[in-house]
Amino acid sequence: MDFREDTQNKVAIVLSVFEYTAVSLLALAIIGQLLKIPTAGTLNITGTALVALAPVAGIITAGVVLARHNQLRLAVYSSIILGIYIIAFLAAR
Amino acid sequence: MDIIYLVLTGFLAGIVGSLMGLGGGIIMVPVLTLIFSLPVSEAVGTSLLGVVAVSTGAAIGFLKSGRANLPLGLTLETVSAAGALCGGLLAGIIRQEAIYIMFGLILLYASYNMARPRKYDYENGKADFPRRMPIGMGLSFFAGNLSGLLGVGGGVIKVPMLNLIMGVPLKIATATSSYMVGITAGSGALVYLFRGDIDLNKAAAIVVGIFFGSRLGASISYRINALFLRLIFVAVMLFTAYKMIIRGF
Repeated sequence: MDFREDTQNKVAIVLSVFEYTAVSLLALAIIGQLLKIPTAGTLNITGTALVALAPVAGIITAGVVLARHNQLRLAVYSSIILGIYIIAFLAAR
Repeated sequence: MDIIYLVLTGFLAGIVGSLMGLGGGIIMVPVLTLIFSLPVSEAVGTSLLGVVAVSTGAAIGFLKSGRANLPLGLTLETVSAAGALCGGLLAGIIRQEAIYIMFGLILLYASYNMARPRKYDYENGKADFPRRMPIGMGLSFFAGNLSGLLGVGGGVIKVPMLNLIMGVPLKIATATSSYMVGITAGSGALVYLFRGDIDLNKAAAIVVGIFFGSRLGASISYRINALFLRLIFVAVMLFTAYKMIIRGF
């Protein structure tokens, strides 16, 4: 398997895990809100955080897999994008 | 009750967005501001989260099938994500009226883009060796900036840029743009999230609605007369652009 196929498959798996977990939690949170269940807020925060962090998880995965395939230039690009996310987090706080 | 309306709104935006090849942001921001009377900054942040959900869902399939070009997407995202960060920070400084006017102008451009005859290159070009990389990087930054500022995915700029300027075949351009849009919108969404501009209850309803709507839209897209739908949508977008620009003045 070449580096591109391997990276794309692994990123797709990580994105699937984040996406489906997040949407399931958010759907439960909505039902919880309608039924006025107190833990709905926690589910909501966790689900929203997972949605926002799914691309981050994808980028980290891509960076690691690319580095293992010695695609250092692309791995550095992943790190740059990750750096931008960290700046976004720090600047917004 | 508002939650149910928001889920339904997200659901409809997801269906229409995937039928029209849009991320949903271009529908969500006007609906949230004009119908639900949300402040524009909250509407933009909420819309960005919805765009991340739609794009991530679409990217999973595109990456698995090999249609998205991950190396090209990563290269362009180094500047596009930075653009979204700048746009998100800029949105906290500039007047809301200016955002309404800019959004109206983007809607006008998207309507024009949707209504004009297509000159896309469907098969020619090499995805692995795109042309005019510096221009692509510049436009990616611009698209990212618009995304962070206005809550749209930026696909309306990225797809024509990849295909017409960089020579990437249309199928690969669309798939790569879908993957890129999630990363761009994610960077902008984080700024809004940590600045406290997103109401989590409303965002949850929108994200869930838009997620299921976009899947339904993708599955029925082959059975619907897209031309008729496109014409109606262009008319709605022109009307919305007028309303947004008027609100800005």
